[in-house]
Amino acid sequence: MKYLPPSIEHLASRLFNLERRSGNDRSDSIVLTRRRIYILPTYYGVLFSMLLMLLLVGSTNYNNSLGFVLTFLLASVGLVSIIHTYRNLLHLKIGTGKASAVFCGSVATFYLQLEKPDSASRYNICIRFKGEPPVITNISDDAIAEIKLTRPTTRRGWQPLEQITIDSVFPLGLFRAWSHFTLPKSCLVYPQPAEQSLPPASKGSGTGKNNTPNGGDDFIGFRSYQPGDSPRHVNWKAAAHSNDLLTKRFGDNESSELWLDWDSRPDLDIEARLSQLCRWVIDAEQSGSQYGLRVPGTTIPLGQGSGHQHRCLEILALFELA
Amino acid sequence: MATNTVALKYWRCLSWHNGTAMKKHLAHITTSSDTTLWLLAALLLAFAPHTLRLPMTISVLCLLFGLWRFTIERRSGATLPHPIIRTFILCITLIIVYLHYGTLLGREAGIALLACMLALKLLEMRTVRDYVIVILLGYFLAITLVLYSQTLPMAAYMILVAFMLTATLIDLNLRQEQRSIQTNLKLTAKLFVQATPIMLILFFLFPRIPGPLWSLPDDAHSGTTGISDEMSMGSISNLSQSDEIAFRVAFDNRVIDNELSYWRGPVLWQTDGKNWSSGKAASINRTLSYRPKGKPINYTVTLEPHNQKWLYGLDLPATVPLQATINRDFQLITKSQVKELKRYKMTSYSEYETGPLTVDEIQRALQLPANRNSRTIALGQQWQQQLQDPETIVNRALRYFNQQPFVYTLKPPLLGNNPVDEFLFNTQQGFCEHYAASFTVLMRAAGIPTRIVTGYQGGDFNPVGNYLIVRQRDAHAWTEVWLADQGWVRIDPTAAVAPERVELGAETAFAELFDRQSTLQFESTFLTNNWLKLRYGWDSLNNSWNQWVIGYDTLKQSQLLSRFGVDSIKQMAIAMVIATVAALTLLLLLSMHRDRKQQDVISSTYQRFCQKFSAIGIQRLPHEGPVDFARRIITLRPDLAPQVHQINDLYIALKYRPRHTQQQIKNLQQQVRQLKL
Repeated sequence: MKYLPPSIEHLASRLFNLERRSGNDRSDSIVLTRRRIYILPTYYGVLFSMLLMLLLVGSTNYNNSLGFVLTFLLASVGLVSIIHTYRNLLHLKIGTGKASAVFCGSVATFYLQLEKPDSASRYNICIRFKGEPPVITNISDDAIAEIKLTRPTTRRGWQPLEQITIDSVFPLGLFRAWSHFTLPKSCLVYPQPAEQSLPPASKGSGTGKNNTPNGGDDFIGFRSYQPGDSPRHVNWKAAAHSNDLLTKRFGDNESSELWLDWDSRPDLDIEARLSQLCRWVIDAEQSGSQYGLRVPGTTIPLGQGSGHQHRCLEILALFELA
Repeated sequence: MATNTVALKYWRCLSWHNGTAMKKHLAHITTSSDTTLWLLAALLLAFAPHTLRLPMTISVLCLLFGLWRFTIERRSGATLPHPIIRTFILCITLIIVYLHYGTLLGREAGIALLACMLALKLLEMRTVRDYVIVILLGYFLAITLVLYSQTLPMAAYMILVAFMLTATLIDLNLRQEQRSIQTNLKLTAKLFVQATPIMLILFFLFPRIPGPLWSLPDDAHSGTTGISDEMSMGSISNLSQSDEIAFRVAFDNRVIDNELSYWRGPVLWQTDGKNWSSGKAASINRTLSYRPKGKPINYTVTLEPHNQKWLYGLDLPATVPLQATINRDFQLITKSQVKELKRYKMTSYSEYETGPLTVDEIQRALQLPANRNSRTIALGQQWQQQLQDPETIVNRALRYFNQQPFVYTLKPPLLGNNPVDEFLFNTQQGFCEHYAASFTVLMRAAGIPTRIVTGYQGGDFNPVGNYLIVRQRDAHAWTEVWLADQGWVRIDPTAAVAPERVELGAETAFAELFDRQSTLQFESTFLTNNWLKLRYGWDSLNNSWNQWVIGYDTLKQSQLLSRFGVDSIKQMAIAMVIATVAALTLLLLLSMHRDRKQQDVISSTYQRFCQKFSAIGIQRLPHEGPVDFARRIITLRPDLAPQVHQINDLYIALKYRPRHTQQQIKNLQQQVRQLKL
């Protein structure tokens, strides 16, 4: 659908003080109330009104009563469609679902639930982040629709759910009702894993041996692709035949103890060091080793498993941010 | 990493504000083949009545373009024609239209051009934008339909076209999986039904500016039939084959007898022996120039457009409608041609005494070409010498028509250069204009000032709507002779030949001549009675339609609205805006209220259901939908499964499905009440 130039909508938002009203909401979900929904004609609405003008002039010129009937019928249908467009969004409840942590550079996914409070079906509702393609959904008999919004990540830490635009031009495309809102939901973004998997320069205080989890020379099998795996280790041939990506594993198939230390790469800056540590955490977890993490201010004891990995990655993600 | 980048690139590429090519692609995938077929059907409907009116080539061309698009849509893999081919076709089409009309402007050429452009647009229609433009042009095509006919069936047809086009517009805004003809039609019907009150508000309150805003093209109102201001032998009998309605008359108190129902049109003085015309225009009368006798007859005429500069009034009109004048011939003259339905109140007197003639009038009323119809002139002169008294001569002539074997027929034989002679002495078969013309020639030859009056005589009385319908077949010509003591006296020579024509009307007189069977012949049968009732009912409906819809113009609007105290255009505009906004608000509130009231009951009932469970420690979590909650209850209390299922299903149906009954709500309340934990 074509909308009016953004500047006009921006002006309308400013006029109605839209930005201030939205975004203050700290509750888990919002309801699109009367005051939150704005409505303006679309580009097609302007075209349509120009057509009506033309029909009106023609009917007047020919003194044609049936011409007036059609002109006014179309005008009324246009006016009634405002109500339908408005009702299409009115009283919708939008709540957030889970948002799993992702590695920086990949796409953060937010789940939203749209719920209608009444029996009237809602059609063609577009939800989007600014500048992103919309996700279009209907809410009919099921009453709740779950949609998935994605956002590319560029920085580690908490990525908040940005301002979301919900809009609809249903049923005639002549008017667009919209609302902007934010919800208090964030997605944890881990640092981007470094590509190279180098051995930690300093050994831990334990009995750990120098281990490069994926760094060995021996090919020891495949496992499913995980974000952060080096593209060079992906089995692209197999990927051509199936939807699953497989990563080749190299190294010794030996469990061991490992300390991942902030100080092992003093040559790198903070972000690069975090990336490197992130890579090591992933690799250590995959190799099945017992591993611990030491960064300034925090030490995570030896452990293993996805919960342990998440704790380590969270420390890295929020390092010097929180 | 790699896959993420690919995915990222893909999304960036799809981004709304990025890249016109992708935008076009996106726009394309939202239109489906079904939408196109809908649109083609709607356009075909809008175009169909034009096919017969437009030149053959153009009609065929437009239909071919539509068919082309249709085949593209049906055959997978077929593509739209190349832009160069389209440009070529466009040029050819423009040339064809220009060759046909000699112009690209004006009503006829304009419609042809619109139809062609629309049909051509079908060949490049791809994006949502194209579809919307075609739909808007389709609305435009729909309005051109009513330039030709403003009848009730045409109105219904036009609304059907608008309905189809709007359904297509909705189809464009529905997601693929939601598209079904049923949903779509229901939505469109809802829109139209809700739009109707607002349409009525706008129709009655929108301040009407008297048109035209600029001079209309010459062909603006072509193709209307009716009496013209010239007459020749055969011109009126042509009209008499037509069932078309000339005007309708509603009488204020009593209905006049058929013998007095003479509706005065052009008065003809000038003749060359074959053709008759008004000659010099009669001067305009400022005051009533005759002495009325008897009671006035009050009535209202609703005149169909006939493209001439006069109105019809009952012989003789005593008042003058707005925007008209009356001339010395007692003919009602308008300033411009009657191009739309006209409604006017009149008073007439059927008995009257007109004053003396001017010298000029005497001359014109006796004018005869010397070189034609010499036998008729000789007969007239003979009567003058024998009888002297004008009244006796008139009666002699009427007796002549009555006693000679004259035949009153719709299909008189063709006449040559001395038509009156041939008619009076040879063929003796003629229609009213034959009798009127020959009578006038006879009288003028006998020295009696005579003129021909054309107009309508009779009409069908519609008992359903209580008004008189005058049709083209009631067209008539009669004469007026001037007698010194009475002034102009109406003489209808046709009555001397076929008195039933004047007493009962044209339909009876020619019952056997009309192709279809006369309704009167079967009047006694039950079926015919009902058929007649139906016919009168239908015409009565048309009459109301004419009064309230077609005839609703600036004048009628101000008359109607001033009754409610709305006098100026400004007040009309304010009233219109207030009424429209009120109607829209009411609509919004009503639609919300209906949902709300029922939802309140349903929600509170479900609330009670949840409370019962929270009392035994099963609390509904804030994010938990009814389905999940029910599932959790059942895992915790399998013994309650049947009841919980039943309540839950009912609740979901009531809350989220559009249709439900009061009984279902009661059912839910009852089941929740009976639930024992």
